[in-house]
Amino acid sequence: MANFFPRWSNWLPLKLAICSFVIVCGLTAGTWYYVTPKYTKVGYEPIQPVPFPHDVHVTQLGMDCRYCHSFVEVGAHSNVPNTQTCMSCHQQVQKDNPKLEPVRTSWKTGEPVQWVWIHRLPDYVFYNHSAHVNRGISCASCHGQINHMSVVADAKPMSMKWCLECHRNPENFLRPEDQITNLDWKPDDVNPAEFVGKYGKPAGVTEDWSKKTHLTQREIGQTLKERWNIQTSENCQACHR
Amino acid sequence: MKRVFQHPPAPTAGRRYWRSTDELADTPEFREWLEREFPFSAAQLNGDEWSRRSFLKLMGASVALAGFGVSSCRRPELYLVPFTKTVEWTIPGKFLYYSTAMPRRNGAIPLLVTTVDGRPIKLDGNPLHPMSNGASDVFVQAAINELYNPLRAKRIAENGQTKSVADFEKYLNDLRGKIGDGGGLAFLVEETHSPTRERIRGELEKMFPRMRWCVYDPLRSEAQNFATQISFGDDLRLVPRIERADVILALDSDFLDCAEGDIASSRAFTSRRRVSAPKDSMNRLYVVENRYTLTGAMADHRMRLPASQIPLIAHAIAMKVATATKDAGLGSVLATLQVPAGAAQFDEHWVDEAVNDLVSRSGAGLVLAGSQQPVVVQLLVYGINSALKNVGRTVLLRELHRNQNDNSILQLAGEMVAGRIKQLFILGANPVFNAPRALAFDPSGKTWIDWPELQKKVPDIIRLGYYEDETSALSRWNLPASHFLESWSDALSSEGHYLAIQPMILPLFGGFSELDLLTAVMGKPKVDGPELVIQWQYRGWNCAQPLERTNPAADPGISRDRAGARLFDRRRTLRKQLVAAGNARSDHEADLG
Repeated sequence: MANFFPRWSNWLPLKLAICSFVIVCGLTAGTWYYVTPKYTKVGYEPIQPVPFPHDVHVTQLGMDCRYCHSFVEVGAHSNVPNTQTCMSCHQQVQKDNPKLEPVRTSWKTGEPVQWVWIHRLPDYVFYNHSAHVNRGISCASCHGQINHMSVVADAKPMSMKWCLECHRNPENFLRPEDQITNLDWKPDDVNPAEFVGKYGKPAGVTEDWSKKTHLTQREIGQTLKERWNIQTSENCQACHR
Repeated sequence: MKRVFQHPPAPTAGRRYWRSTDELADTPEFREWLEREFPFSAAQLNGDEWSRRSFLKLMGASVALAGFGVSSCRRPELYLVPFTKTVEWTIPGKFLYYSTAMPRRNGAIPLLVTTVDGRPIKLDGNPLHPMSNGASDVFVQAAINELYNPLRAKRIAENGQTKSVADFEKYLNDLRGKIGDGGGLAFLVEETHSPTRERIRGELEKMFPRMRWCVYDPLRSEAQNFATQISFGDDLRLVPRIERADVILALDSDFLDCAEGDIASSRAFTSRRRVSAPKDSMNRLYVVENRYTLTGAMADHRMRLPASQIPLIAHAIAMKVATATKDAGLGSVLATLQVPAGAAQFDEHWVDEAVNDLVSRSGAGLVLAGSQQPVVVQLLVYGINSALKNVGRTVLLRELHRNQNDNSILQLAGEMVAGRIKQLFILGANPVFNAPRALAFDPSGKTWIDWPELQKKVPDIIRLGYYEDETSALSRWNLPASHFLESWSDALSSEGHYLAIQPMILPLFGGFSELDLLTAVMGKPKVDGPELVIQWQYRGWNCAQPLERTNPAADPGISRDRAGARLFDRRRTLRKQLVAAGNARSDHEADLG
């Protein structure tokens, strides 16, 4: 009886299995890497109608974030400045700069400047700026070192996993309430004696932290978390409501 | 298996019924639409170039390309659009609340308006105002949809042709010359209880001394006003204090429904149904009515009775109350009335129990008559309340400025038939749709004629309307009216509290308010801000003190109310004459009297 199948077909099932394994793994890995916010969102740097340099305004000129984003502490939504805010300085400063033409046109015509939206969350996520910045979360935690960006880019993935990183361990990110808009703040900037005098120590810590040369982020965060009674929610409906 | 649906054949015998209004109208467009196999755009794909086949091929290709190409995978670019100039008080993403009021036939309702970015989105009762305490009703909730209703009147029109504001102003200037002393001028307005409108009307009357001012509302109760006037006085109105009543008898009075009563009544009533402490007592509600109403549904004892029997039951109750209290005032009313024997057909036992309850709670009972009941029922009810010493306790008298020059639509109709009206301003009302039929008798044709016919006799009709409706069709000019959320005004609540009405948004369709039109008639420039309303406040209105104080003995308002009971007795002679003149003067006669 003749062989129905040629000889090479003996290895075919194994080859098929190995091939499909490699393809499936490759697809999974590719999706994992390329189709997540970490890849698709971070670095998004659209061209704005006016190339507003945050580094010049914040780092060189020392303006506070809240001069323009004025309602970040009271509203869920952090506003972008209206034309009037820009013009209050730029009527005197750089008043002939061609880059500011859209702002001047807007001031003349009343048509608002259309800023491209970068840090955009999906519609099914509720985020309240005031709840975060009033409780020790800095602008830099989500928006990165905007004070050194000449063109604003998305610095963090803003995925759900990333949100939960902080909601599970807020002590890794909390900082004193007067340093929220200081985007260059480091835990080393804290004077331990002053800090402990102001905020105390977490319960159960026997060591005298005020004697330490410097405090770690974790120590600062734990103190503040207890002091402000911060109970971050991991419940779905905290954000998806 | 594919099922072929066969339309049922048109019946050959018997009557054919139309299945849609289009079929009834049977226009050529409808015929064409009906006889076409596919909707109109699909039928155009029949040509050689654009056959359906090639269309599907192209669409399939483009969908595939869109899927393979990266362009469709990109996130759409969205924009953050701030204001150009800072708007005061506005915080993006936060609500802003304003207080205003909604003018209503029964008296304005204080409101709290939620606005977002300068747009009102929600109306609620003002929780800080005693007339509302945060409560609102269906009409308040619906008013926000009324504001954004796309069917609103949006244009100035003369005989159906769109015109500009300048055209209208020119017309009005010419018209002012024709008006002269106002011999042919009439205004038909709705009841809004606006002191500022009254003040401007006074100015108009100075300018045009012979003009007429007619207040018309299809649901306005002339009978109740007339009965109050002859019973208590001209500038008074009765305000029931339902929360003080232990026993309430409602004769065809649907006071818990928002159309007839107001939210304050519902709140006052339910406040006595809430028992939270052992000392709290509940009120008891007797209702006599001829249909199902909300009030009837809340009744402890409900009697259903034909409408024709309600005056009889009022009489029977009054007789029993008069016997129990021996009250002279009520006796004098009853003496003028005669009820034919055997006319009354209701449960006497029910009436006895209700009267016993009312008499035993003298001073804490309350009898209410529906606004559509005739004058004789209103008088009997006032008499019963007076005899039971309820006036001043559960029924208060409040000042109400009634202008003696107010006319009714009947008087206006009479003038229109005689051809004396040359210029008619209709502010808001829609009389072509809802005025009573046979309003005036035409002596020339010896017929009773309706309002639409009357309106054709007036050459210059200017209509301020919220919609382009039946009345606009028969008016020369139609002006779009602004909503109460778009204009400055003021109004009095049902108890006489002064309420300012402030705009939440600029007129969406360039509408005029009543005050705008009235000032324009006088030839004065348009006032955009609150100046007209503020002017009123500086003039100093002799407003009654409506807010009650905690100590009733120290309240001059209460003592004035107590005097109301005596007033009812004092007016006995006048009332006797009026009642004797005709046992049940009809509403129309009351108007014309």
